[in-house]
Amino acid sequence: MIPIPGILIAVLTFPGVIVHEAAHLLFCRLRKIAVLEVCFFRLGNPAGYVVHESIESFPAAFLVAVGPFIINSLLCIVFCFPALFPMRIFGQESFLSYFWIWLGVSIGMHAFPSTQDARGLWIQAREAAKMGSVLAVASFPIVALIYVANLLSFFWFDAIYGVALGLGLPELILRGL
Amino acid sequence: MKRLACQRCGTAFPMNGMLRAFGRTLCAQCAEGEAADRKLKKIPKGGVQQLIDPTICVKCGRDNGDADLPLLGGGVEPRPRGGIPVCPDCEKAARNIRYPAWLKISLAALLAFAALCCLMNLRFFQGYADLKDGLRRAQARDFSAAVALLDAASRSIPESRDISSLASYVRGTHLLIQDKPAEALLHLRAAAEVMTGDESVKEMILVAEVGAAFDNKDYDLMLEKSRTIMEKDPRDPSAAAGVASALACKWAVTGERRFKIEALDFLERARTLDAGRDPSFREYAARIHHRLDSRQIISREEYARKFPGGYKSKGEAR
Repeated sequence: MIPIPGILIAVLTFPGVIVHEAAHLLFCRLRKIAVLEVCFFRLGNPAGYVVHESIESFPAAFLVAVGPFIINSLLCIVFCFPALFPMRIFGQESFLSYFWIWLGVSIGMHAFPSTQDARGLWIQAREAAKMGSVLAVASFPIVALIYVANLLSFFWFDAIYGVALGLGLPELILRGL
Repeated sequence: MKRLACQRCGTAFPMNGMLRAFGRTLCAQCAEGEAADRKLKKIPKGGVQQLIDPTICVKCGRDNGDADLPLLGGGVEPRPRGGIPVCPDCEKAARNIRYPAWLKISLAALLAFAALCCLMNLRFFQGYADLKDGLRRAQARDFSAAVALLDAASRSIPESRDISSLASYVRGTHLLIQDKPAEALLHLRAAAEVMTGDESVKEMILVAEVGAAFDNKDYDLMLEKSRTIMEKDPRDPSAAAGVASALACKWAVTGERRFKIEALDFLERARTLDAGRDPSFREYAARIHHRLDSRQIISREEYARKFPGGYKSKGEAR
């Protein structure tokens, strides 16, 4: 493992942190969950956070935890694909293209829920599944995947995901065109 | 606001300033004194807890008198389970928390900028669509449409030399099919400047050079280029027929019989290689036979006019 301080990565990919927290906030707003404190970015660990009331409903908890995964992944593709197109197809490189790719990959890298989110969701999914929640049972593979992915972030899985989503997926699409 | 008496000094203080320490309710000063008395270098985990006045809103500080406020966010880490007292206004605000203006402005600016960049990049998508369509048309041998589409793609992305060279290549091929080798040569040579390693462009240039040499009545050059094509692919019947055609021209111009003999040899070789596969070969062979029999060099159009039903060779001996 290459020992790069997390704070340095957070600084280099700060738009991803902001979008991650904004996505949490978005789903909190949608589900009317009280938010007690928000930090979009700071030089510390965690680099950003949203403190909200405890969520009793599993669907709401699932949405709030998984929200950043949806929003960050979507924005990563939206920013990377149009920037990559002229580069990969016509070899037309520009500063702007690299800016969008950096932005997209930075956002994609922060798609996975944080350790706290993943752990909380995992516990809640198990409890809800025991209570017979169909949604909890149905979403169990996703929750498990997110949990495992979060554990794998120690091995740079979040960075790999960002690069794969931002650069790999458009590459596959372009090859298919 | 609730007030509690310190269990060490007995003085009453607002509850929010007090601590639950070492099993007792103490003011901050007494808590420090208690810790010093116990000679504690480090306060044990959970040994000291700040008390929260349930009558005061933790968000805005509003005092609700003696009545407790509803608790919000039970169990939120690192707050104690049971939540925090929050007034109705603050609870409403917490449930409808607003995005900060800087975030909204930056996100809107970013999305607007992204949309603008996409708009500016639209020409790449349009150019790519035209390019793909143009190549499809070229493969279907619809060269007029292919040339128009590739030109459009080249106009959309003028900085791409690959597209302009591809457009030149297809245009050159189209002109060659239209029997305009000199014009074709210009476009094919332009294409070759970029498509340097492409063998098909080199071959097309040779074919165009043969045609241009024929038009210019430079039969030595025509023969030389035809032989080069033949060397590149000795198994190609049209290459062998091309050499025969050039030799027939030499025979027509010089009257040297060796050219005629060699032309017939190559024509025979071409016939064997073709083995009746290419229907246009028979017409080409008949034209060469006409040239060999008559020692007249006429264009394809003229030949078609003179012999609409095809030319039958007299079968003259070598």
